[in-house]
Amino acid sequence: MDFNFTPEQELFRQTVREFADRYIRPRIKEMEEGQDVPQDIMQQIAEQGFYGLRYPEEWGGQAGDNVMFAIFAEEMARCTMSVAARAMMQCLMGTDFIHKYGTEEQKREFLIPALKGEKYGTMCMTEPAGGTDLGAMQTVAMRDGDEYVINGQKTWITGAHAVDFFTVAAKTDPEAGFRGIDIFLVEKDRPGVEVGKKIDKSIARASGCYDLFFADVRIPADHLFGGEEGKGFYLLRSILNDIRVHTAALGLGIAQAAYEESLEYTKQRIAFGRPIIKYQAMRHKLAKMLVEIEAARLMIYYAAWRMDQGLSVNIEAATCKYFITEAVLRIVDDATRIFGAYGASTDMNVERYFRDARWLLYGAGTQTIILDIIAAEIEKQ
Amino acid sequence: MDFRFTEEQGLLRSGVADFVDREVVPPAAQIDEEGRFPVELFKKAGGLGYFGIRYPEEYGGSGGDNVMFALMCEELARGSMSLAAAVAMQCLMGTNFIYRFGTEEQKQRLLVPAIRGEKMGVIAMTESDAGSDLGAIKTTAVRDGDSYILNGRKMWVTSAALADFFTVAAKTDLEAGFRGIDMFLVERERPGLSVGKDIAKMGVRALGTGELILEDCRIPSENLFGQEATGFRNLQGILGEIRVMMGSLSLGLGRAALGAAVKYAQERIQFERPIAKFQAISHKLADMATELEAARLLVYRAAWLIDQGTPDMKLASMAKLFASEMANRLADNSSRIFASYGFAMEYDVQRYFRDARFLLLGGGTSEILRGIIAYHMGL
Repeated sequence: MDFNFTPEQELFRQTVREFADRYIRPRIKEMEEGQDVPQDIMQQIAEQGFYGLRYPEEWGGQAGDNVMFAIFAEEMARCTMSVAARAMMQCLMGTDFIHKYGTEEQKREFLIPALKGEKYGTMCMTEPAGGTDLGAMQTVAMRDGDEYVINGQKTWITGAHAVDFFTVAAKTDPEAGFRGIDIFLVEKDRPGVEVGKKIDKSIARASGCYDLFFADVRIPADHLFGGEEGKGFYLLRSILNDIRVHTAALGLGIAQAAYEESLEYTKQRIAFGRPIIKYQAMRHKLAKMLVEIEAARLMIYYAAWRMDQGLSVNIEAATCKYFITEAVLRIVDDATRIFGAYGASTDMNVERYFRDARWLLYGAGTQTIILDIIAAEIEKQ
Repeated sequence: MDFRFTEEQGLLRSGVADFVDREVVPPAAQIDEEGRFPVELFKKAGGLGYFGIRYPEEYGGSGGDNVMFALMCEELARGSMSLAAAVAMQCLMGTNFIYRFGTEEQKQRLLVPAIRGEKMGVIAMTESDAGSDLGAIKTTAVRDGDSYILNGRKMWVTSAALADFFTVAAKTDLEAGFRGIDMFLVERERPGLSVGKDIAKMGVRALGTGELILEDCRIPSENLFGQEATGFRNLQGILGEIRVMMGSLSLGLGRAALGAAVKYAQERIQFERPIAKFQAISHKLADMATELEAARLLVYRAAWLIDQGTPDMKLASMAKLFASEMANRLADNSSRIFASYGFAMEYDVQRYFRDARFLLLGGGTSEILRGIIAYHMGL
């Protein structure tokens, strides 16, 4: 057994933390107000090589493991969820299908530039009528000679306005539910692709989520991932555990930030003649936060480590995501209680944490669906 | 990072698990119902070498680590908390002071037989007016030539009626609070030592818990463990281990409660399908599995840190706090899933529910633990 991070991993954590504090933190207010992540910030992340963390060196990646990637997610979210969410798209969901299932040519055209920050990608799954129930999606991709023709509407597409290519889930068999889904690469400049309105939202305000429309969009047949129709469901499943573990790591970052700032505040804030940290009611709140953070951290890195070992994480990915979500919601709630009225002030980070933590409730699966998954797994055991 | 158990740890776990499935699970309900200590099973555990896991080979131990000790406690608690708590007492609090501070003669006379399961040792700390506030104990130890004379009444002493020797907390300086506490070895046959009646209690029923009365009980001065005024510090030396141990017992109970609930939910038919098919039930089970997983990692990590020579009191306290609360929630949820059968004596779930309360008390209450965690956070 060895519960320690390696010196390399610790150093990497420090690197990400310093980068975020130096380049991203000073811009948070601007981003929150403008409800967007400026492209120069996305570019700076690229210059650090972070987009290639998970990918092999032959495509310009860093060949890092899942433990390292979870560290990256945690540290980015410790600074701001909006930028972290955008970066995760580029590192994981937006590029993973091209890496795993794309042609050599597609990798050269999209993956290599994406890791350098010259092109951006995002993933398009959700529709107005198909969120958790993905099988209910109505976007279709019909074969027509050497092409597919895509029609439909997507929503909650992160960074749609700023990307160059989409990984799109669409039905090749509209009658077949989940099994009728396939996954396609769609360049943004294809005729018929139209980015709709930005969704005004309270959570991760700067991440930028958009509606997206496809009207008779034609793509070459080799843009179907997986080589044949009817495989989309399996391809999707292969990435879900990764998404869960690393989304959990984002939650951990928010929890850590809320805890650190609460601790600092209780030391400085004076009430009834002494720092409020001297009151048991405050001390025990902080103690409870730390207990949950420690437990969550172990669960998340255990799951990441298992992935790196090639072990199954069906249950670990789901339990760590479920656990940190409930924990971070309690932690940001307590943080705003500790800050009192200041917890509601936009001058304080905790009000942002309070809002952004709710992202965990939806990203990588709602809590209810995650519980269904855990229950199914324990029944199998 | 490496979350794997070593081969040795894995072998120990499967060995104990086997013993528990064959010898502990079948009679556990009856043991609880009769409320009589399972002496035979206890001796068997001694014969299997469980009492010596933490001790070196020169005293008959096997030189194992704290992760192994945690795994053993967990497996035993899955079967019977009464037995598991007795074994844990024997392995740790009941014998640790002799091992660390006893004379060679005391070790040969008491520790070696205790490790073989021929003698039983327990600790006696709590008094009727001094639980969490241990500094308030009133039992005194007064030096008289080559002896100490002990006077006082200890409460909640595990196996008071059966133990062969006691590690007793008493004050050499009544005015000094915590710092006035010292620890003494008191053998059962010392004149002036008597045992009151066992306390009738709701959980861990087969493990007797009683009163130890010391009236002008004279013991030789070498029965003082360490120097005078070091008792509290010496006690602190094993508090982390005690907390990890309580966390391990909690894991065992949590597993038993979850296992029973999963099995029942798959068998019990209501509205024409197994109740596991209803989200209200399956999501409870998923919640339980999640908490258990989190508790496990905390407990093993705290145990592992002790083995690395970097014990972490904060983390050990967290492990105990989180795991004991987890065990109580799991026992509660399990009994909800069993509904009426959850309080039928015929099922084990009511026993888990009762036994889980014990986990909230020993090794520090949750309320005290939060204070300790906060203290170690620099608050």
